[in-house]
Amino acid sequence: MEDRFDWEKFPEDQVRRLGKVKPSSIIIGIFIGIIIIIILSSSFYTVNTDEAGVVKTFGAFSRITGPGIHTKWFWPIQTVEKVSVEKVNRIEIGFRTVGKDNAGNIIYSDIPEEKTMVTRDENIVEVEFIVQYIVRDPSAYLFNVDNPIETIRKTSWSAMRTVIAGNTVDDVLTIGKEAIQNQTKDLIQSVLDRYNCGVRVVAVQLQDVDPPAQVKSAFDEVQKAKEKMDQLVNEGKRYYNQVVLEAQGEAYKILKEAEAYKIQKINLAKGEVSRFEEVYRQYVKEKNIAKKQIYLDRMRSILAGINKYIVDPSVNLNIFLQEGKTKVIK
Amino acid sequence: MKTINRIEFTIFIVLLALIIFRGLFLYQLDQTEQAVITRFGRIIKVDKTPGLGFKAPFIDTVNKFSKKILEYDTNPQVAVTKDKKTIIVDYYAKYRIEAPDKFLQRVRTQQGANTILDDVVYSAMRKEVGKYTLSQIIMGREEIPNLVINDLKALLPEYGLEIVDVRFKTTNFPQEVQASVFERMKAERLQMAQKYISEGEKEKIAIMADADKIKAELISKANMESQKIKGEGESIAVSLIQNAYAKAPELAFMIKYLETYGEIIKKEDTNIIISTKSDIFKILQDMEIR
Repeated sequence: MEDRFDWEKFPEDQVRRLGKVKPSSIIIGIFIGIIIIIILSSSFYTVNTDEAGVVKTFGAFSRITGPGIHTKWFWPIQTVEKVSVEKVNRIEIGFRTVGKDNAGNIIYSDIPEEKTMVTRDENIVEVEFIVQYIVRDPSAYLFNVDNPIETIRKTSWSAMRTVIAGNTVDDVLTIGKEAIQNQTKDLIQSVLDRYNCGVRVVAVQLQDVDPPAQVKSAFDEVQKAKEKMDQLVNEGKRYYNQVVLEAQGEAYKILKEAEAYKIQKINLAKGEVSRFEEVYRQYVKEKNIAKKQIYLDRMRSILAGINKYIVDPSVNLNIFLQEGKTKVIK
Repeated sequence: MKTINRIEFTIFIVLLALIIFRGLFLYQLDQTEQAVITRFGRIIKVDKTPGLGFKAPFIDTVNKFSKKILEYDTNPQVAVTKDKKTIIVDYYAKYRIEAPDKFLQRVRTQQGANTILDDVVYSAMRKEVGKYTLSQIIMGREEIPNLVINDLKALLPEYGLEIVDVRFKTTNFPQEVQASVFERMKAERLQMAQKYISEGEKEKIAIMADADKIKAELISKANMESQKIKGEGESIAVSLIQNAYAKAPELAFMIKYLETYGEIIKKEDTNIIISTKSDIFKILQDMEIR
């Protein structure tokens, strides 16, 4: 610094002296400028609404700040890492979303080694599912586990495998989905909590759960058999309805016929009674005459039209018996 | 004025130098890091506290290691079960560097750790898998990993490592067994399909039998009722007639007999021989005599 820059004369001599400034002074000036820029720009930071800011002092954790603009000690004293704590992250297992084709349909690719799992009854099933999680504790998320996303993926994969191994293939393919999702979710959470990973599992959703292609047709066969079973049962029910309704009708008919018979019988009897009452009224007036009259009346109608032989008791009746039906006129 | 400027400038340069050359006598540990300080290869300090630390320039070396839970993962491996079946096991382990000084002396790097874990985890896994049958392992859930963890708890501290977890990603049938598994699955399914159909038929027959039973019940009950009703009718009819006939039984019987004769003596099938002494023809005889 022998030929120092004369600060006193600076304003007046500025233009004249500029050419004579030493290179070292220019470098120092640039340095100062850069340092000021670094200090200013690293003293402020913004945390978005869905984020948390994790502030470290010389690498050691200091504090967590919420959304907004904040100040901190400039670099390299304090640094900040931002983690999204609202965003629901999604991990795909058994498949990956590759992108979209020209028509806008989403293309997936299978990951066979991830999706092949074995059930309790030693059946192989292919399970594709997604896991949704959010960061619950940003400092734990940043500091405790190396590669947290891959850890969550493997934990989820392992947990699903464990849960599938506890269920039968029928549960897995049909009724047990809800329970499997819940069990898997709980298991993932408990393992991640053991690692103190700082995430909360929001949901586990089974996507496609299928038998392997090699045995698909046999599973379809079962489906068809189930339909056939329903069909058979429906046939039975149809028969039931038909037969029971018909029987009800018939039973009703039998009862009504009996009632008709009863009424008929009673009415006939009543008729007979009133007829008798009529005759009786005459009878009590003069018994013998009435009796004879009735007798003759009836005998007339009985004997009127029929073949008859009126014989004296002295006649041998054998002749009639021998002759059979041959008429003999006496 | 000139002097002050000079002092300020000097301080500034010194600060700048401190910042630029702080690596010579200071070291910084992140929240996720730990370090072993060595002086000419000899360990003088293990530092697990994040933040700044001091070291002697040039002669001290700072060896930093992660404090995080690290992952060890390998390719799927074949193991033999108790029932002498081969099984594909795919697993991963979670561990952390617990004693960085031991780790530095015996392992040095994460690659080194992987090599050690390759040997140690695999042999523990093979040993534990050999104690169980294939189906036990496939359904065995956490048992085997937990046994492996126990084994590793004894073995890994020697390397400054601490086992955190071992988990199966896959326990699967080997390729050559898969075909027979598929065959079995198919057979099971077809059996199940047959069962559904048989069950449907059984159900159908049962429902039909129910219907037939209900029909028989309804009809026979109706017949029973019917007989009762008919009997009632008959009983009422008889009692009506009885009451009427009781007034003059002799008349009633005469009428009844005559009615009966009327019904049984028919023009078509009856020839009748009547005595002249019979009531109706008595008069006829009397006339003859006279």
